[in-house]
Amino acid sequence: MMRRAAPGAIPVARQLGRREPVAYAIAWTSWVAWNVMPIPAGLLLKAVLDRVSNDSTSPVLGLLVALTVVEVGRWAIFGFAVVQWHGCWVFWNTLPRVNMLRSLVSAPGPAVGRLPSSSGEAVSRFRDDAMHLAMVLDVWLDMSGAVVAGLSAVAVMAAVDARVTFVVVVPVVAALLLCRLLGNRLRAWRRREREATSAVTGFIGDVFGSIGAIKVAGAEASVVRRFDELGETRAAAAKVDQVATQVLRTSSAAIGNLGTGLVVLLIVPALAEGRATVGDVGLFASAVAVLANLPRWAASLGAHHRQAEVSVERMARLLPDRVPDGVVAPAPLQLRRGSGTFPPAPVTAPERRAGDDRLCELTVSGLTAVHPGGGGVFGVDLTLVRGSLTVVTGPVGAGKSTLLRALLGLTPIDGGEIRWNGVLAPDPSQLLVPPRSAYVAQVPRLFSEPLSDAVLLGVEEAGLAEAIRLACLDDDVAWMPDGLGTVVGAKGVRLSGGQIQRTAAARAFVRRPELLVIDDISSALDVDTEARMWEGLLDAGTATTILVVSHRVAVLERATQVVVLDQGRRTT
Amino acid sequence: MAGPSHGTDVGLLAAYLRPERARLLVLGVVLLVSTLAPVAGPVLLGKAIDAALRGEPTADLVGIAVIFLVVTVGSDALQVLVTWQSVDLAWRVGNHLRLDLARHALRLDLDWHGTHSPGLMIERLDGDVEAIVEFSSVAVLQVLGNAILLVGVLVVSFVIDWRAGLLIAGSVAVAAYLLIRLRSVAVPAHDAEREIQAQLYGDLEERLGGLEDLRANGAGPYAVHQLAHHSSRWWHAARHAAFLGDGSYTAAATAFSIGSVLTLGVGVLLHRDGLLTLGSLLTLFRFSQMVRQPIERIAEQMQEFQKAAAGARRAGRLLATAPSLPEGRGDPLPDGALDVHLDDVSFAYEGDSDVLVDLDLHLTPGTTLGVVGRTGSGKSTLGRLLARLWDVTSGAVRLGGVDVRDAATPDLRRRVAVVSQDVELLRASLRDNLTFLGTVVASDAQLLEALTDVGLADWAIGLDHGLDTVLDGGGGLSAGQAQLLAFARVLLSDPGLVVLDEATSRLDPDTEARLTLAADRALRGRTVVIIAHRLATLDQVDEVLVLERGRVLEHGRRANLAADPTSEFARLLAVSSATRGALA
Repeated sequence: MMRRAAPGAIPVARQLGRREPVAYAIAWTSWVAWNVMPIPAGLLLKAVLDRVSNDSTSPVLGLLVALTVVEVGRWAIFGFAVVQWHGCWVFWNTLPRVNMLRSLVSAPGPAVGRLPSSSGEAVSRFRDDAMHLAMVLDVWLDMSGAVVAGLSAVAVMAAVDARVTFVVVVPVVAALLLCRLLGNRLRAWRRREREATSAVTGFIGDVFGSIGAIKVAGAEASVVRRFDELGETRAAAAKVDQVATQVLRTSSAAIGNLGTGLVVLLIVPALAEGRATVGDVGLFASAVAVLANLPRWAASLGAHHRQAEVSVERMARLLPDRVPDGVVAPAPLQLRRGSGTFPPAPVTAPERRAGDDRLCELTVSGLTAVHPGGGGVFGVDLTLVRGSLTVVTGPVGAGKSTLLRALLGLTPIDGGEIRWNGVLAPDPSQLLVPPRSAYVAQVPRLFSEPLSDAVLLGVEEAGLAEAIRLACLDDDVAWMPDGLGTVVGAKGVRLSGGQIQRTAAARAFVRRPELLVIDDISSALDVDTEARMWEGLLDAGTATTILVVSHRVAVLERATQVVVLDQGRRTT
Repeated sequence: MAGPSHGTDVGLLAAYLRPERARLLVLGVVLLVSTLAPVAGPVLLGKAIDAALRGEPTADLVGIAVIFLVVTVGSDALQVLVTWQSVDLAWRVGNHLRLDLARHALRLDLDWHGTHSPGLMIERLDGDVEAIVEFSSVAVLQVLGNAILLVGVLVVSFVIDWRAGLLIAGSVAVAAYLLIRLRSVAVPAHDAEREIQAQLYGDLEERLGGLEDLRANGAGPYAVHQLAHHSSRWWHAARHAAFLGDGSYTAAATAFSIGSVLTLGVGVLLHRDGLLTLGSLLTLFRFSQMVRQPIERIAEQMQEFQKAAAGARRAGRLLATAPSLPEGRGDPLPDGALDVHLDDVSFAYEGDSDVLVDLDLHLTPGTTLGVVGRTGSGKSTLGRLLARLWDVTSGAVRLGGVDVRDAATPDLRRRVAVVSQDVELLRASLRDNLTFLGTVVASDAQLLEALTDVGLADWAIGLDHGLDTVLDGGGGLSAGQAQLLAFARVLLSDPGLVVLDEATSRLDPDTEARLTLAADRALRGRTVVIIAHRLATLDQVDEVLVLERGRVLEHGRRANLAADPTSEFARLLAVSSATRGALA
């Protein structure tokens, strides 16, 4: 077998199973018991048949009662196991998701490039790829059951007739080999199908994320046409994948049937010669049926491993170091806490900050951040003194937003350094976050939640009213149907562009940062509102230091320093 | 083109399967053969035992074994054929449904989309349809094939011995009764589980789309907490649904096991009375176990069915959601610049107070109108009504004399262009972004000309793959550049009315001035409505409309309003120039 450089799906799945060992042990035991119980049932059947064929009068009622107990007990175990398993299933799906999201939102390093493609495409990694990894643990349960039951079946058969048992086991081995043989090709087909599926989900996400633009342009027909094309490509890939999987599964089943046929071929003549009993035939028929499950599960085991290998790779891609172990790192989940009793979001109090967090001076020297497609900022020097208002201005494409985003560590830095109170910040993405800084993006994203949650995002509620007032959002809130409880949409269809920006501003203000970084907030504000906002902001001293991109006169005339950028370089 | 009509959740699927009747028939026949073949297995086994006990020659016994092998292995081969055909069918039907859902969802208004996030749409258009496809490809065949097997086994059982046959049939009836009775109880639980999952994915999609906002504002732990919270709700919902859904399966299987032991007992009695051979006894017992398997399989697919039913119900609900903007009868809009009539227009978003009240406005073709007013005055709403993104609550909007409600939507979209401050770029090539995936037909030369007009030619030529470069979100394209791109889109579609909704708000004054030059050329001969915060944007307009709380505060020639010291517009101009003067 080929040696792999990176750990594959198996060790990752094993770690995932170990995160909840008791739950896995319970699931394992109950599924194995459920799978094995046909064997004692087969032995009881043999006893009944032998008694009936040897002696037509001896009682069988006791045996039949025992058989009933075994059968009913088996289903009682099943009922318990299935509910318990669903709890495990949710856990297996959730742990990788939580680890991926935690890494995306807080692991060191720039935010740019974290998602390989659209957010819609990334959802398929959280949904499908997490599921494929969980499937490995699930199929291990099934496999364990099939193996233990299969071994029991072989033991019971061998006790009756070792020669026939050997002949029956041969096709099972053949099935396992076949599974290995088809492996690589199946993997390639599976990968193609996943890619085609991602293209479809990514397209849906993009289209409905830009629904307004599509409607205005009347592009509905073109969207449907493109969706159709993507769907056709995906259907072609999926068909190949599904049929190939079925071929593998069926050939295993066929080999199981072959085994049963061989039993008939070998044991029935023995019966005629008196070397075997009718009970033996009954037992063999039951045992072979159990054994026939083994290649079927083995085939799906291989398929699931290969699928999960692709999925683990895709999930690890979302982690900064791309090491698969991180996908299944331990994390407190509290799944058993229901909706009513789930602990509230951890609240961070903005006031609580260490002495080092207090900003005296932020120095940026020689900052260079280049876009892959050209453009960016080159060798920018900048000093922000406590209490100053620095305005960055310049023409379109001058690199104003890039400067802010590089400073915050959102986009990668290609050169230069950033010092907080003279101390070098090796990774600005870890330093320039609340309570040290907060950010209002040029095109802010709000999340679908009540307005108060959309602003707070886990910060304590005490400063909410003040932040709303400073952001000049209080009038708007008064007009909203449920006030602060009004649910605002992803794209804020009900909120105007200005309202979205002011909500994002309130979101930054409520964090009471030392440094407030604002990218062109005034673009959707009218003259009066903007003047009111700056007055409030500068007087209240919510943020002692402000860095802002703006062309507005109202801001420029209040500035402590003005930074003019042109083609990525600072001109003044 | 509308999708097939339908009534219930099952009706929806049936409607989509109807055109595939012929394929289904062929599939059914192959399925019949491949599933009935295994019934021969236990019969041959019983015959072999009886023949052996009678002491028949070994050659005959071997012959029976060979027939057994051929029949069972042959039916497996047919099974592959069945899968191939059904998978093909399922994807065609599934994609047809996806397409209809997408087409319909695209017609729904922005209010609806405001409450349905892109993540939720992925779940509706893909997750739900996936469940339906899974059901129609795998589950339907499993259910159908196993039902056939069940009937075959029962018929043969009756032929062997009617009493034993009756017993097996009885246990099947009890099991089926339990399954059907308990199944309906589980459906709402499965609905609830899927709804929670849809919320979970919808929430996740938004958070992933706003990574930078989350990171830079330290809201990561909050997002993770919300995911954990949703997952905990899922944990409870999944276990509850499993308890109800698989509970029915367990109850039926238990009833079945008891039936199978009873069959064995009755078989023993019949054998002792000399009414049943030992071989037939074993055959009947194997049958009583074999009918358990189809029931197990059918029950296994119950979950798929429940998922599919829930998915189909939601799909049906989506298709039944009527677009709030009924399609017009198709009155053609005249060529050239459009005149604009607003007659007594009032408008309120559903459930809210009026945003616009009794608005009257007339613009002659080719007029440029500037609209100003405080945030919330209804400026943007006015623009949206002109493009018929919403319909007026009362009154009428007429373009070129045609009520927008009477115009055909594609015609209206072609003749009215809107540029808003949020330029939404598709993750597609520059060409696709300019033409909106081919909505506008334009040659490369025309595309480059439009890019040149807005000052993006140098940028476009510098791209690695030129017009075929895929624009990946905002990467490498500033908000200002994105806005220039939006202007290029307008130039290409040649509209008769252009609404600029704070279109230049993100541009610095230099760029704005450059764009204004290009815009002057491009907007000449069209009617233009400019909604603006910045008064500088309105230096060149013919007329000005000042809105306040949804009403017209003043409307007139720009020059007249500017000259009238008592006008609100003059006051705003004064405030604006005062700040400008202060800087100079």
